[in-house]
Amino acid sequence: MAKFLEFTFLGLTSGVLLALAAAGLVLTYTTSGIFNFSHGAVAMFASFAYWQATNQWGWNPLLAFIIVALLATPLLQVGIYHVIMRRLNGLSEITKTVVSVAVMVALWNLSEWLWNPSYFHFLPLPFGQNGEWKITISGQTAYFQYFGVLCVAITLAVAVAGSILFKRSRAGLAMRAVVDSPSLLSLNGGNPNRIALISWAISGAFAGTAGILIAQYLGNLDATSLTIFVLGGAITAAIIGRLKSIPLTVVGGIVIGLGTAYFNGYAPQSWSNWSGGWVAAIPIVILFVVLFILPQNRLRGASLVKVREQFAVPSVQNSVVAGFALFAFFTALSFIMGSDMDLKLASGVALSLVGLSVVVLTGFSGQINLAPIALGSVGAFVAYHHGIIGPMFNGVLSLWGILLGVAATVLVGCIVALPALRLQGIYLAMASLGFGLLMTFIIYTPTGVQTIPLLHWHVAFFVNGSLTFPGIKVGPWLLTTGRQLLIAFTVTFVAASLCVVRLRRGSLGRRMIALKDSEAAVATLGQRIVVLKLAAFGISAALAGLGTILYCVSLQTVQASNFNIFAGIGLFMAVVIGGYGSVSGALFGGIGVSVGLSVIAQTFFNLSVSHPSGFGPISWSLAGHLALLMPALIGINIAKAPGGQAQKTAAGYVAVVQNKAILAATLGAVAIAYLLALTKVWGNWWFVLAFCVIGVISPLTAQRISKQHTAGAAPVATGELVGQR
Amino acid sequence: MTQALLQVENVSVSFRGTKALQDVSFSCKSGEITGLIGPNGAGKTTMFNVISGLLKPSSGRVVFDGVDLTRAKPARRAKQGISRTFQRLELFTSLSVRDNLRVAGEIHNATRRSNRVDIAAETERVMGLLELADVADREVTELPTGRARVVEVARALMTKPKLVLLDEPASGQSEEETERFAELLKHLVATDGLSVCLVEHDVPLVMGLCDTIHVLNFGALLASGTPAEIRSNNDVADAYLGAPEETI
Repeated sequence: MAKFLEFTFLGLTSGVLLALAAAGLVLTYTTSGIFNFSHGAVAMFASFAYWQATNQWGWNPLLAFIIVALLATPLLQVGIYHVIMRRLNGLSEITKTVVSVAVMVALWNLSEWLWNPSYFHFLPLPFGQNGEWKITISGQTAYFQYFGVLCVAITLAVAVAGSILFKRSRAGLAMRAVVDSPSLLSLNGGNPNRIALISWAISGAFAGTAGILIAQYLGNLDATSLTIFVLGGAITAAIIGRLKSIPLTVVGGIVIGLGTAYFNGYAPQSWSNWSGGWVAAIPIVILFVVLFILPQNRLRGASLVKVREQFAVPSVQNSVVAGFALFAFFTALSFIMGSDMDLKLASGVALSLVGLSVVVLTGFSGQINLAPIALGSVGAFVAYHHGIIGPMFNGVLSLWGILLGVAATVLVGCIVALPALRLQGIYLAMASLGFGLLMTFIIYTPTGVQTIPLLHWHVAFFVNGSLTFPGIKVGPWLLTTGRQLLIAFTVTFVAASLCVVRLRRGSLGRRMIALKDSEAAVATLGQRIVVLKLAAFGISAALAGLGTILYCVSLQTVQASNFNIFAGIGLFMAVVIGGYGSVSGALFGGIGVSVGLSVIAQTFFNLSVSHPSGFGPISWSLAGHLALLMPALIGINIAKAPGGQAQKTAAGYVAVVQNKAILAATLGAVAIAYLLALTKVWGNWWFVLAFCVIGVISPLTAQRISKQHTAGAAPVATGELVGQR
Repeated sequence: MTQALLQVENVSVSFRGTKALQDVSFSCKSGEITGLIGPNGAGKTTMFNVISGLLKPSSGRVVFDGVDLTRAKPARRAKQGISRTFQRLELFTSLSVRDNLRVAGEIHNATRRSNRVDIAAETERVMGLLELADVADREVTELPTGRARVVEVARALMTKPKLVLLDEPASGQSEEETERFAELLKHLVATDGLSVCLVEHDVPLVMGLCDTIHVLNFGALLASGTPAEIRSNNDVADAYLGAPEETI
């Protein structure tokens, strides 16, 4: 009994904290229509700020709490809404999701920059470790910490204050009105934007309070685990509250807290090698149960309002030309780059294949999967365990092994998709996030041989904490070197891209696009939605599986961090930034994640080592941190280029292609730069620099000349018009 | 006597206690244009959602062409020959006018082993019929609402339906366009053997076009009959039309 009471109390403590965080999530969603994936990161940031204030600057804890949780965090949330979120009108759910994910990544990068993760950041409990009551029942002693009582009291106070605010105050009335109809509120003199700002501020206070208390509850501050703890738990609690009811959200938080505590306390000892992962995964399991129990909305409809993301559909002929150009360029590059860089670029091409899975699933069909790498990892595991032939340290990955891995991914993709078929939009995004988290907690985290509880099966996913992938054998060819892999992967990517373009231009592709635009219309025309969604998930899973297997081969040694949810989210974000409806967007995302970030990091690291004084007042190290924030900042700014950066960049080169002289000069300059690198007259980095300079100058010059031509022609045209009048 | 193609029997729908439809029964006869009218909130679009399968009724039956489709999914109903347009436009905004029609034909062909259509030829025929050829390659978002509604009708016709449910098709159309549209509907019913069920607020259009009219009010069936019978029905006049001589 004492044990039961103790675990109930512990569950209640963590539950109310999750409820507090989740209440903020519900508040912002109901008043602004944006599901804020960065909420967990805001809470995490607040906890680090509190640590800084109390631990480093020596502030009084209460004063620090008031300033951080009740002033600074609300200001941060208001800033996020005012500067970023309110500009997302007219954008699809997918882009809105990516923007809030980008904010999460930015805050996460910023926190790792400001508070070095290799140092230990500890927050003590407010009443110390011994601040507790002891109660003895039937000879057993149960411990109840004062901290838990404080958490319950704060949450109760917030719930009462929130209830009064909603039911009695004018602002609360307006908040309830904006939930029902923002346009009607405007017509009656209300200001939905101001209401949203107030709710984001209150949500900030909730996140700040919850973040600080959760950090004290967990003890050690760690950006990743704190973000995941709040993200996983708060999302589930918010879903239990159906994203609109704060009392039900509080109930949801408590259910999660109690579920986790009881599992911790009562799971059999024989499960111990798996229970660690399961404890963290409990909120996700509850999330799945709730998502599949709750009735979903009817089939999603559309309207005649066009979303701002529009993607050009290339012809197959142009795609073949582009494919040849890409193949020629990467092959040429492989002759001047070192093997390491070849492998790095090969990784990028493999991730681009995974990116293609996002294009098919999200860009064509409007379904969201935030964990494409987690799904693809199924194929990688199967290929590793069943596709490698030959001796242990000298084997090769067979083509049949790769195909087996792809088939397994398609199977799992369709199984995962089946229950997900009834989910739409943001709910599907959460389910996929849950899948990624589940894989992270249960499959990737444990190492060595595991025994599956109840079934007593022995499995080993990460045998020694990592997997070593050999080269690939295709018929008579053995692909082991960086150059071989790069060329083979590029051919595979080009072939897959052509298939994707063909798919988009064909009947199935048009039906997928129709599905994205209006499920209701597609269904009433006679299309079975389940079949179409399964086709999209199946094709997407095949691409994700193939890409992830090739990614593993290019990495050679694969660790859990290569597969975890942040890797998948990062790639998804990069593809959306590149343009999630086009092959070029997938390439942009894959290369950006694999090559772009590592080149930025490595370049600035080298510069900071060789020039520690930096340039002027800014050190290279600082510039490097700023550069690493760039992808997230570009993601945040996606509203300005909703069709994606790849399409925007390509549009800039239209003038180059139209001007034969500029085109010839550009190709000639690139060829000279390449020959200089090939003959070792200058190094590769100079080639990269020259390539970038040519890449910037060439379209600018062509556009300038084009404008001059237009300006020169304009008076004639005007004169003709005037003359006609 | 013309046979009933669609029979709606004692259909009720509730939304959290609010009764949107209460025990409504009516039928649409084969080769006729049937009107479904009533004030805003009477349950007309809800009834269309029930017939097309987007909404499950809490009780009652939907029988089409002798087959009970009450539990059938929307796709099955479309395969049986029910097609529809929407009050709130549901066009495929990423596709051109031509592709909106084409994809409907492709869905039709993909779900059938027989009775397939030559998609290219049928698309051109339907676009010609509904005077859409001049906007064939334009994106649907560029069209004014009236033309966009015609695109929805054209898309519905691409599936070769036996019965087409038109939800306020004249809304957003000019008087001249409405007249042409009415003539076209008559032509389709007479030549293609199409049956139409029409929800519309344009009372002169409904009165001039429909063979039979059913009137809904507060989710219940208020009256059924020919246009002349409906015009002279005092309950209908009170509930919806106002004084007969003023409105009609």
